[in-house]
Amino acid sequence: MDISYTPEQQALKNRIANYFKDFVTPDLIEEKKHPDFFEGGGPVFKQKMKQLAKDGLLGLGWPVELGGAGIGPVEQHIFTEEVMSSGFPYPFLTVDTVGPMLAQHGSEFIQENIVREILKGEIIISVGYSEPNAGTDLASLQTRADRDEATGDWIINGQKIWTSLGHYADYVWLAARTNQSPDIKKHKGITLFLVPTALEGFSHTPIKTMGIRTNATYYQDIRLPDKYRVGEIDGGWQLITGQLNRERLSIVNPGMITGVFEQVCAWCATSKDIDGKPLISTPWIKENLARVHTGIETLKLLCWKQAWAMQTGNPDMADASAAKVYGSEFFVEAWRLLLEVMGQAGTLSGDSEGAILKGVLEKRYRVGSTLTFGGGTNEIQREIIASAGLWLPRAR
Amino acid sequence: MDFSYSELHNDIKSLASDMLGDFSDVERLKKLEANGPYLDHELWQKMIEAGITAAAFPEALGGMGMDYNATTLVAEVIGRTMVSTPYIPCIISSAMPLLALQNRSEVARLLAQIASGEKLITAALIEPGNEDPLRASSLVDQRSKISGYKHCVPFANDADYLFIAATKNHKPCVAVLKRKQPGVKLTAQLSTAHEPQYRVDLNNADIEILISDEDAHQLINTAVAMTTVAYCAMAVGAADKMTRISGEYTSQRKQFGVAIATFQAVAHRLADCYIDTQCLNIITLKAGSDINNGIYDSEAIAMAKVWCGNVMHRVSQAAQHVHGGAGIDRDYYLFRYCLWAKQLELAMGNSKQHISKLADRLEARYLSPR
Ligand SMILES: Cc1cc2nc3c(=O)[nH]c(=O)nc-3n(C[C@H](O)[C@H](O)[C@H](O)COP(=O)(O)OP(=O)(O)OC[C@H]3O[C@@H](n4cnc5c(N)ncnc54)[C@H](O)[C@@H]3O)c2cc1C
Repeated sequence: MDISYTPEQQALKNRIANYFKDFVTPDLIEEKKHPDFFEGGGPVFKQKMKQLAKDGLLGLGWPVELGGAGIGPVEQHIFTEEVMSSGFPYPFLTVDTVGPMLAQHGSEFIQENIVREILKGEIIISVGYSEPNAGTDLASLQTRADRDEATGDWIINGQKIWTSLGHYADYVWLAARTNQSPDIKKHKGITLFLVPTALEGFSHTPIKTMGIRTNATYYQDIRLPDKYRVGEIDGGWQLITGQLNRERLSIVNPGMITGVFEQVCAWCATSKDIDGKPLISTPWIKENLARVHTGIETLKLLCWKQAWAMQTGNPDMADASAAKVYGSEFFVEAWRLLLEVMGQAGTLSGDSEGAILKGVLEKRYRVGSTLTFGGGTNEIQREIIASAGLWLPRAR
Repeated sequence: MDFSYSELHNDIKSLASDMLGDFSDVERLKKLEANGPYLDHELWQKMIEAGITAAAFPEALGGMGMDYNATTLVAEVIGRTMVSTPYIPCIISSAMPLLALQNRSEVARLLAQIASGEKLITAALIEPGNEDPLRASSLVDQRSKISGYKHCVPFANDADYLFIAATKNHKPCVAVLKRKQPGVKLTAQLSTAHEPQYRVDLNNADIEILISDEDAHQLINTAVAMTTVAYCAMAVGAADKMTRISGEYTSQRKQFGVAIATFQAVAHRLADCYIDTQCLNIITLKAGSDINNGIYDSEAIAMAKVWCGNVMHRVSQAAQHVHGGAGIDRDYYLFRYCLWAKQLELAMGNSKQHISKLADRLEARYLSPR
């Protein structure tokens, strides 16, 4: 038991932190202001992704055979924390969640072409699970893939909703029903496909949310060669849960808040009230900061433990869910505590006259609620904890 | 980064779990507490003989040379079993901090006697109106006699020695003295957790060992850090146990024809207890690891105590709530954990105090020119 970085890990952290110090350049900040590019996708972002790949930072934790550096999960986590805290719209869905699933379960074609392209920073992948009538009850999804027996191709029809990044992604990691039989359990008839968005029959329309842009995506008679299928036919559920387990940890990465927190503290130290006293000397203000600080350190530890557990095997399922619930609810609380510190000026956004720290918190607050229901809603996480962590009986 | 325990640590933990588990049979506890607060002498003797109490002492003093983490494992088991032993005040609050001064022969002699079980020492850190041991009002005079008062001193009546935070020449010092002497008067106090506690009045009492100046400052800081984290570890055991007791009960208890654990409101409240326990556990492990690495002013210690206070309050109330009336019945076994939860919440500084300490540190860090 020694919960601190080894000298090597510390050196890696310093090196990566140093690398990202000036990585988010003014032109990227400018580009991110466009609603379509807040989560990446613009030309500057694309160029930065290639830079990351060239400097060997994208596939740190990936196996050497696939073009990665083969370092451990803890080291990979050190990287992710730093890149996220830099403010770069790091495509974690592609690199940290779908990518590893493809590396493990993809066909030879996918391994040789798509997986390598991910590590070159050339490809972005969207996740296509949710549908208008399939949210938390994901297994009831209706988008279908039917086999064309003559060619072996798949014909895909249906609609997905909330397909983030779908307006610029190169592929959709798509869950579709391949078995319509009423006799099988509904999660047993689902297959995973990697759908190139360039194919005929794919289209998207924007959904503007309170915080970010996402999409509805449509699949009309898309003809998809079988080499784009991932895993077994009707065996998609296991891939969905595998990907979601990874997503759960990604979305509560402490890097999401560490950088912002430091900015707010520094702002409180340099800003003075009407009596000339630094804001950070006001008791309730520094208490708000201390509560956030305590929450961040706790979240870091929960995530470190998960990363460490991956080295030796699989992290405990209930503990992964606990980290997801705690992290997502902490973020919501933290944005509130930090916004309070700014007073009403905290509501001034982006480039507005008088906006504090470029409205970063005003934006975070508008984006923040997604995490409590996204990536597997917290109610379901609590169900998992109740059964896998406490062995409570289930209702049905 | 390593979150695993060594084989020796796991051995100590399972040894303690088995032994303390055997001695925490509910009927036995009931019989023992019938006459009021008590020390379980039979168990304490067994813990000494098995080498549990002195595990973190160096071999030369009769121990196994283990680290601070080993002692928090025992504290966790105490929180899980609710046995009444002086392990924390004797071993963690007094003896462990004194290990740093074992090159003084009188200290080494005393530690060896504690290791063998021949002597018992307890720590007197707080006093009415002041819980900061670095600013104790008990005074040591020029003739090295001590006068003043302390309270909430655990097991003082059973102790041979008292480890007392005091002041000499306006500076913190620690006085180790014999409990049985004319200058020491004990008055029993009744506390919510039923731990035997005493007010100690000192009137020109004789001191056996006096530690002053830099040594004393360090000694008190160490004692405070180690005691704080020990209570957090005990809270981890108590929180986990309360959650699991509640899980078992709600899986058996039926209303409306089904186990009440199948109601989402009940299951989710317990899931929240599980999450709280994980958070308290992880920050406590970090605090313990920092102490092990000699960082006695680690922020993680204050953070652990913040969590400890919050989690003890929330889990204790949730556990009582999902039991309904059964939870508070003294014939059932949950109430002991709930009563201790309040002591663990308030001892060694509550959540608000520690948050405000962390707030001051943040302020200083960001205002100091870098
Ligand atoms: C900005 C944004 C980005 C997104 N990105 C993607 C994406 O890239 N790809 C993708 O596939 N999806 C994406 N999603 C969708 C997201 O995963 C879903 O919103 C989520 O799964 C919840 O589904 P729902 O919105 O249909 O809500 P519902 O399932 O209708 O849930 C509504 C409420 O009911 C509760 N509830 C539902 N079932 C239960 C139950 N059994 N017990 C207790 N409570 C229950 C939920 O917890 C929730 O609070 C995104 C959503 C948003 C808003």
